[in-house]
Amino acid sequence: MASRSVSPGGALLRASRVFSIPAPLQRSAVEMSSTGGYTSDTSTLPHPIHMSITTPQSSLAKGDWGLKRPLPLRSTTKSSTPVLRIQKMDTFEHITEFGSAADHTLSLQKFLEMGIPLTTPQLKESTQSHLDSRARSVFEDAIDTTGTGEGTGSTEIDARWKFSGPWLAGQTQGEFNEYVQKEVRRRKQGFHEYLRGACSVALAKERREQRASSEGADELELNPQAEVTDEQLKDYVKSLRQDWTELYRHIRTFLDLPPASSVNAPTEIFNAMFENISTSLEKDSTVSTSPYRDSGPPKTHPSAGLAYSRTNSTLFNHPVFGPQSSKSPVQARIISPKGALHGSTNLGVGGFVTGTPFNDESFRVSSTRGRGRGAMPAPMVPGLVNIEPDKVGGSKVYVQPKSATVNPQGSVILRVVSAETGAVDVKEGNTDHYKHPPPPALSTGVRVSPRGLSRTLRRDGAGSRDFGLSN
Amino acid sequence: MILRNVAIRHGRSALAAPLRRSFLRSMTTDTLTHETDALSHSVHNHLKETHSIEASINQLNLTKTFVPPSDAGESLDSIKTDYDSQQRLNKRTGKLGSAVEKGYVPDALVRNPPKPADVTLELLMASQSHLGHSTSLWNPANQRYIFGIRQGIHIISLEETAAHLRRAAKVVEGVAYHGGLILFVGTRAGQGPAIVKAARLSKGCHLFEKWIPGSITNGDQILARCDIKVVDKDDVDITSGFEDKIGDWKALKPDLVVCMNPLENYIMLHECGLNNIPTIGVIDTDADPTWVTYPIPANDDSLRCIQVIAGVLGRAGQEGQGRRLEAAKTGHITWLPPPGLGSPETAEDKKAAANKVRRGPPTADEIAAEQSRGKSSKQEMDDVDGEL
Repeated sequence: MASRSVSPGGALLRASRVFSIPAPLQRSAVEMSSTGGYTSDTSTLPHPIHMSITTPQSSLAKGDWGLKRPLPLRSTTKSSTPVLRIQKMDTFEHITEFGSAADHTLSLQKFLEMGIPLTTPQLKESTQSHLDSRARSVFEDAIDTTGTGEGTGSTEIDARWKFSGPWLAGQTQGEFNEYVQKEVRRRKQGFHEYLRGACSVALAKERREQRASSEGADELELNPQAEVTDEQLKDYVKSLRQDWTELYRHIRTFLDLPPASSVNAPTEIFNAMFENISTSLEKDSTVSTSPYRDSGPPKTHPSAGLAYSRTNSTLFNHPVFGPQSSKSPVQARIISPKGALHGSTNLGVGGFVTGTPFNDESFRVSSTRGRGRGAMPAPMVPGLVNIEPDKVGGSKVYVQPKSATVNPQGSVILRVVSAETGAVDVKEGNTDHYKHPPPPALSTGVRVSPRGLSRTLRRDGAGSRDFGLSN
Repeated sequence: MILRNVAIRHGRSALAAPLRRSFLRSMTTDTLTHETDALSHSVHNHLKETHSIEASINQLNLTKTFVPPSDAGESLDSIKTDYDSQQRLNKRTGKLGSAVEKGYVPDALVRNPPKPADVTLELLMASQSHLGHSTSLWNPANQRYIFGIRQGIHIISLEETAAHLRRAAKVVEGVAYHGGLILFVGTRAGQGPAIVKAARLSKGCHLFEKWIPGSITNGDQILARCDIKVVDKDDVDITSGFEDKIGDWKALKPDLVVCMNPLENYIMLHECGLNNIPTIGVIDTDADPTWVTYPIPANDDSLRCIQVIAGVLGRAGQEGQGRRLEAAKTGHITWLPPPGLGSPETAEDKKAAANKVRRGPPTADEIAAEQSRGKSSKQEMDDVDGEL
């Protein structure tokens, strides 16, 4: 495609920074709820929709942000985080509309400080039994590709995260009807042509199998360009009406639909009803291994640009105590103790809300209803049960962030575990009650090579305990 | 407690050495012996008083450890050696380390404004000259300057801005070359420094506060107390000879007005139109380009854009003035004195004028000339009114 020739000024303008400010995204829709949601115009959105803009300190003092007009000093210079989002470059009232973008900017900064990788979403428990259930990095080559290519097999589709068709499992009835009426109906003719091609391929395959069984001839005869008669096509369509699995494969390929969650897929029900038709081997092949089959394909790249590390396997090297077995823990705010909101306990970790680590003993909050009061074990974190009004700044607890996922709605799902006691002590500096390892005894009579000395150190010091401390 | 504080605060002056010997010696002259005696006596008394104060102060707890400053400072030799060693150190280590480059200076455009030859599309774009107003605010008369719409605002074409800015620079340079008076007007907040710099460069006038309505049309009343001076071809003040004529001279009118924000200065532009004064104005997409004679389509809200435009026009004026003075040195004078100023009055002229008054009323020729001049100017103004 030939590019339109532009004037020198036009070319300059196209490359300018103001023009590179992207158009704002739409605000994420409010969830439909009969009880009424907690919505606010001023609350922090789950994901940023405007670009954050900052300016050098010298220009900030003059209000020069490179925009239509200098921004007012009174409202921009007082902030310790002078990062703005521009809502409108100019309005009818001759003002530039802007707001602070410190919320998302600081959240990103905190996220990067936590240093956790972005992983694929967790699949549903029931389907994990026969598959690899480990959360993988979204940047792994096997699942990070957008190319449509020619590959229509399940492995090629499972490797992709971007599809042009909608995720049918996530659509409402109305959305689905609209999609069928507006999009699918429009492409009816195209699907007929696609089926004709598929029919010719199938016929050629059939012919080859026949020949192979009868004569054992070579495979040079595989020629899908042979003309398909209307009779043959009609027969092929009839056969497809019986074979739902094949039909669904063709529909999915034609409309470029993302892989569906296969647990309750019609093919599964069909298979369950007519077990004699489809074998169990076919059943396994229909189950998608795509990590996005339960949550739906992501809107952006599954990392959403939050972080680019592939793994969590990094070592925190403490300046005094040396390499630590776990990373530095993060202080989390207990947002809602048990029973305050929907009966769930929520933590705020670095600007993101997450649940408590459910399989962790210290966070387990037992209900008093079923048992007697005396039998209830007290949780190790007191702020989880009751609001502690005398705590300055609210109740806090140390957690260890493990991984994160960006769901298709754009919110960050953070997974945390409880922090190890030694790591918390190192973080807070409460290491006085640990005894320092005794210095390696060097007998004067024995010559110790440097290598031998280092071996002694490793045995006595850092190697014995996880945190370079011994008690 | 207060007393102690007083002692500490004023202790230095109280305890300082009273008077230098050399000072006393210089005052001792033969003619003033008795006075010097009196002085030395008073100094003696002063010393005594100081000693008594000193004694009382020394009894205070706080001042017991106080060491009075001694004026026996370092000797001159040590200062010299220190200075020499410092110089040696600088010489040996001056070339070490990294060179600190100059950083970004926000007001570089004001301190060192660009010349008309430096106007590039890049400079204009970097100074946000292309950002117009919201599309709902546009004046359709600006359509020819508009490049397109982006992010809800009109984008002014950089080429148009550059071309109009260069033309306006030529106008300013020409007016300055012909000895015209240029008035720079920018009445928005923050435009002051750029306006003043431009006016200083082009030896013109500046206005960064409110335009008093009528300063041109009713200048004799409003600017009555303003000063007027007469200069020769080399811009040197002529101090004598024009006192009487300047005394009842009318208020000056600018020969060119450069307006950075025409929207707020419509009255001034209207007065300029009434008096046939050409105007240059920065026309944003919401302004009317017919208000000014030479529009410059650009963003009038950005201070950086205003600094560029004012700087370029100021540099153009500076160039015009320089060329005018160059020409004047070679004897070529590019401007005419205002009609009616004449040559400077000498003593003989005054005497002749006095005789003329004694002789009788002015002749009919002179009266006719006066009337025709008044009529013609009035006629001109009527014509202007009709046009507007």
